[in-house]
Amino acid sequence: MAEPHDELLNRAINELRTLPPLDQGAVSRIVDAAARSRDAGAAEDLDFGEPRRGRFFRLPAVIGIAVAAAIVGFVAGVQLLGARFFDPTDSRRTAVGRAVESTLVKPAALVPPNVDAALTSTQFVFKSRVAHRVTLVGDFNDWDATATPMTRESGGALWWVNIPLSAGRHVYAFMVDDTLMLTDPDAPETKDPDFGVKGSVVIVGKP
Amino acid sequence: MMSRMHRVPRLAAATMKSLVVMVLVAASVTRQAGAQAAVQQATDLETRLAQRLDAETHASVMKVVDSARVQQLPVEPIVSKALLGATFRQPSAVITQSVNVVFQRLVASRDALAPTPTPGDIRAGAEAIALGVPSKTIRDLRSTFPDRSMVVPLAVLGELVANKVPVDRAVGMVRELMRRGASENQLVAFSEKVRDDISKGTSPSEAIATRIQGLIAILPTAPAVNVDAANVNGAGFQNADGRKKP
Repeated sequence: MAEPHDELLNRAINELRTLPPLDQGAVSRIVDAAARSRDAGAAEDLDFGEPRRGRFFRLPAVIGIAVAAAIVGFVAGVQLLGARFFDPTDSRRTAVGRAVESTLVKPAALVPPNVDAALTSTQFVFKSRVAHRVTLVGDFNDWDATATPMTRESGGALWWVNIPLSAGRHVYAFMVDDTLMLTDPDAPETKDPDFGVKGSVVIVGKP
Repeated sequence: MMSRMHRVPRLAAATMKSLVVMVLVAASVTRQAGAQAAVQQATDLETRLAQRLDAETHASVMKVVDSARVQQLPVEPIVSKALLGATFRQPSAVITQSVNVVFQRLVASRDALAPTPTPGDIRAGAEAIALGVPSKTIRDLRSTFPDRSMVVPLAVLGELVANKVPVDRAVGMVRELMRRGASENQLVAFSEKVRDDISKGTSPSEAIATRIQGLIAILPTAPAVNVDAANVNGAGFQNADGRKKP
């Protein structure tokens, strides 16, 4: 059974339940705003153009830098290690009484890709029991009598030195006791076409 | 889903951008290092010359060195010649004249070995010219082997000519050996053996004829024979199988 105040309450409830008139403009504004938001998001996903400030360090960019660094590191590593450990030109020649050659290869990253870059370690030997000091001079050391001193075999008559030489023809001589310049008796002799001075010849091959 | 698919091209683009940046930075650093090395090298060269030459000779040699630099020729042969002259106490005028001759040989060698000789090629060509090999011979040899380094072949050729082997015979031998794929070391060994034979009294023609037979026997048959090779074979050389070439 309903009481009098219930009737009052029911009337208030019915009054509140009455909807206000629909604002079509407001609905349109909400729908438009949602559509704009959706379109903007899609466009952002498809945008591969110039990045805006602050986007560069997003995840794809960081991964991209890492991948690029890995590629660069791999290429550099192959160049350096490949030249040092896997060079097929690393040959060694040994011969008694003549120039002994072995190949030195500069790291590929430090020199242009030029076959002339390879140097061959060449041994020069001179025999003398009476000499006190022997040096090697030639077109490879500016004919400088102080540049390439030779080492005396302990207690013996052999003087030797190893130096890296580029491929081609080289002219050299031995400077004995800082005064006497001698050619190599075990090598061919040549005469300089301009000054007429004598020297010895070594032709260094390529590995 | 769509978003993940969009990340792939974005990743590729970022990788490419990073690669480009790294390559540009590396190129810039390398170029700068190269320029510094060139400056250092020029300074070292000046010092080396100044320490061994008097002021007048130094100035005249540096003019030649600068001319060589302008023409992008290797300067080491000029420096070496000047210092050889200083070692043997040659007069200033003689040193100056000699370095000018070296310069002219370098120009002739560069022209004969055109279009893209290496500094080593140019140096070897200039030495060969100094030993009596004509520029035309060098040009012909280069045209036969446009892509091969000429450093060792020209050194061997010059040495053969210096040992009194006639130029035509010497170049015919070298060309034939190169055509058959002889290695640089085989060329050097061939030259050494010929030289040893000559020093023991064998005539240059006989020495070269004997030694080339031994080397050709272990090399594959040449892919083609031209007039010069025919001249070589006219001296009695045989193929590896023992048959005389036509």
